Amino acid sequence: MLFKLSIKNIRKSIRDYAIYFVTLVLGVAVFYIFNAIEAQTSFLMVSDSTAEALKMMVQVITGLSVFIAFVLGFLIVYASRFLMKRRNREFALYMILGMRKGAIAAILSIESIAIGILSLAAGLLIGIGASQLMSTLVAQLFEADMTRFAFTFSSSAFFKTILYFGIIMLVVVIFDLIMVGRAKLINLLQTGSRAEKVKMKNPVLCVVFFLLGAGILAFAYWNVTSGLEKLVQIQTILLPIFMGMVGTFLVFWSVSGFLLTIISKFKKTYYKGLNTFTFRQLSSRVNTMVVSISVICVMLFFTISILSAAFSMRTSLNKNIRELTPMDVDMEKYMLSEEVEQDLAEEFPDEAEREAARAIYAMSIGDVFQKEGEDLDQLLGDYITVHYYDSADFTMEDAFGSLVDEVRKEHPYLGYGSRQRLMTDADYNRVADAFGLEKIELAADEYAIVNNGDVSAPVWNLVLSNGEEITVFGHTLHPKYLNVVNGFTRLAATQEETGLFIISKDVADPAHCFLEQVLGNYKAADDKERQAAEAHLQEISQRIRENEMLPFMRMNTRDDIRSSAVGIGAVVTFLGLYLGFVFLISGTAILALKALSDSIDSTGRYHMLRQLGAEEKSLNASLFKQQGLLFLFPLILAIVHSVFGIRFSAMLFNALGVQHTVQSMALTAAVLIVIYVGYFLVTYLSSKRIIKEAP
Amino acid sequence: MQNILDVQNVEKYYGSKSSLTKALDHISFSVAEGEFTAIMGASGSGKTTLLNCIGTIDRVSAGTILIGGTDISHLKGGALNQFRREELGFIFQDFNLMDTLTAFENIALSLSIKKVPVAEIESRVKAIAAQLEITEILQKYPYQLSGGQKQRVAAARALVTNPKLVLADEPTGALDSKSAKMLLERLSYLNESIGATILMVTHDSFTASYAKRILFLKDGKLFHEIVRGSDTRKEFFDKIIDVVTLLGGDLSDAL
Repeated sequence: MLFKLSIKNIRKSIRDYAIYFVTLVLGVAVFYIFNAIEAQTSFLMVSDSTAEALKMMVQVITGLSVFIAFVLGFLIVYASRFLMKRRNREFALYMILGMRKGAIAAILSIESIAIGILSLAAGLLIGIGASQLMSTLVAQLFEADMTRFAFTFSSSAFFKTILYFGIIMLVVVIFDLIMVGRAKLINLLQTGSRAEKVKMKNPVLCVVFFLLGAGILAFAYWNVTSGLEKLVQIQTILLPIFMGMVGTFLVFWSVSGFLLTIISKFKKTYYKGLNTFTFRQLSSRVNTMVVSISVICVMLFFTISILSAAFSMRTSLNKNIRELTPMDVDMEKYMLSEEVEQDLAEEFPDEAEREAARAIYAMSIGDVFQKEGEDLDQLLGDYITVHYYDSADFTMEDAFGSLVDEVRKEHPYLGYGSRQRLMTDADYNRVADAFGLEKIELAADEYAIVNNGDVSAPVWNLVLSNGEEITVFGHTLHPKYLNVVNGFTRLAATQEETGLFIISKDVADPAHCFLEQVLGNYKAADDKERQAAEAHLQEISQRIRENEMLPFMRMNTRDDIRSSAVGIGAVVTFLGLYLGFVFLISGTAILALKALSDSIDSTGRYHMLRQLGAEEKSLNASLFKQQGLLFLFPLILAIVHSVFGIRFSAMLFNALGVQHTVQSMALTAAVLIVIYVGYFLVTYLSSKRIIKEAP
Repeated sequence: MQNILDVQNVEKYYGSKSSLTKALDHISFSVAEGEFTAIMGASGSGKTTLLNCIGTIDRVSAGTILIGGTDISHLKGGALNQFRREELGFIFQDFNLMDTLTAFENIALSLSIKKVPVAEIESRVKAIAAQLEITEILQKYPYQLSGGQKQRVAAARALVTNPKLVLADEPTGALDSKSAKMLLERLSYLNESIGATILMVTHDSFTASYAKRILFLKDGKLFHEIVRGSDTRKEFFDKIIDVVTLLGGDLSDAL
């Protein structure tokens, strides 16, 4: 009997449960999708480094999921609380009829469990389906090989989702029981009959608080954009975010106070149709919801920033990698320079050991290959060999010359004592030729700086435009250009060349050559041969590592860099999406529930308007305006926040070589709009139904 | 004088064929323009059902109701809303004021629903407020007002649109005797000064004594009718008491 009553109740109020149901289903689906990533990415062609990154990502997601489960748990308990409130009269009736509290609790529990199972099933189904889409998307985003794609189902994610949401539903049931145990008949009967008091805020205070809030926001905005010239530290981000929260609250608090005062001055609009009612409702709603609207605004801001950063990360990485890896292989080996000889003398007091180390240093890259029984000419089609120099007499401090104190004030944490790398113009031009970069011709007394890092560029530009002279290998050189030459000499995932000094080949001293570099392309006619060559090189690299040559030698291939970038990109993008989705769902669901409970409290008012002869159409229009504006307010301020937030993260990411693109903004907007507008429509349609009911 | 309201042979049934309840049983009467009429009866006599049928909130089972010559039993949907908006004014026992709006806005709302030009609204609200002596409280919210003040605001809202017919359902039901007297005096003043046609439902003899004519309803049937004529209100009250006594215990316990 009780079971039958529960099922009938659910059927009857299925549309009231719409928001609750949607939130549960979305929560379950998102939870499954992200926890299933391990299984989903297993088909992607991954190298060792990517596999490491994936393993790390899975660990981070596991940890994050506990936090997410808490967020979703709170949300679900909150939503179920709201639904209970709506049914107080029903429970009062049961109690008047003499039903025991135990029986009422049983009805509630059965309902909660039934809805839980239903939404868990729907959520998992959607999750399993969407995770297939997700992996296709991921593979496409990161240009991964999809040839081994197969339908995957992660049983671990499946059971984990069931476990976590099972616990959440259990908590919901416990809260239901507590509520029933505490319920008093008189309170149940009287709900909704309270008259609302309109609190008026002091207009002077409102203006003061508004100016204060706007001032705080402006200061925070300035702080994260033009006020930001120094290297970023974590504290410099937290303070503006905190100021943003305070400013947001003050702005909403004060706007809710004088919004109506301003609108009521426009009598033509204010007294037109149901506008008086609409604006009064809205103003009283915003007034009572200042805290939640502020929270939602901040959450939306986080969502927009996180999503756009995540999408930018992967777009930029792909674009960067194509440009920054113009050749297949980059091998570097340390050589025996005067400075190394000195270091060795200190490190190995034993003559024999020192000699062994010297022998390894003395070998060229070609020698190493020969020792392994391999031929560099066989492996690589066209390749170039270039050399780097340094000198104990030429550190970063020396490079800054007379400007060193000024630079130190701005950037206290640079490696001022580190030896600066040097390259001859002849060598650099061979690299530039192979990479398709701008060439440099230098006279014997000239130098230039090659750089592509955004943070270091202005520092070197200052040095160059100041005409600072440097002294290397006994020669005094002056800058040829006023600015750095944009370029690089190593394969990398990001713009990481922070200053390579180019000098004339007549100046370079062979005794100070500390590094040899080979850059080349595989000898391969097609993709298959190229893959074989890559595998062959990896195998050689493995052998060299076993022979303990690796500390002296570094190998980077285009494939390696790309796949590890997939790793970084995937980690950042996925975590961003995960957090972004959950923030978005939570914030929007709270707003939707508040709007819905407002509609329930206002049914009497709509009934009254109907008695005055207002048409159904205009009632719905008024409802649409109220809820539309309620959803719009936090979004507008969140977008303003995000404009500055994104500019800030753009600056932050520029240091990593990541750029925000229009495409990533569009994608963020699309995701946001689908979920936000979806929630708004569900709320509006449910509310429309609620206000149709007689009070 | 022209008839504003014509109720002809109205019947209203509830329930199915096997167990039929006749809430209204062959009721016919008319109300002329400028009349202040009260309908009295005990609980369950059908007086609220009758008012709901006239107010287009409920539908009759048989018979016709003409308001200003329009047969409202044939109106539907939008036309019904429009008719209610244009021709009728309502006063309820529990005031039914919008608690988020000031008194002024509550009164203005019924004008803006009727799409009255904004320029006209202020002067019309102020005029009716002066007649109901609520000018001082126009900027206050319902929760700041006494019951009597609220009901006068509700009356102003009903009358400001110049409806053909004002329907009042137990307007003094929630008021103390002093507030009730004040409200009724204002209503009969408006009835005389601007010629508002008022149809009021009540079970209270004192309230009814302010009307010019009283219809008594018992078990869904029109039982009796008395007209005040040239009587003073006190004399008219005594007459009402006589009828109520005649009606038996049903109504007398409502006194």
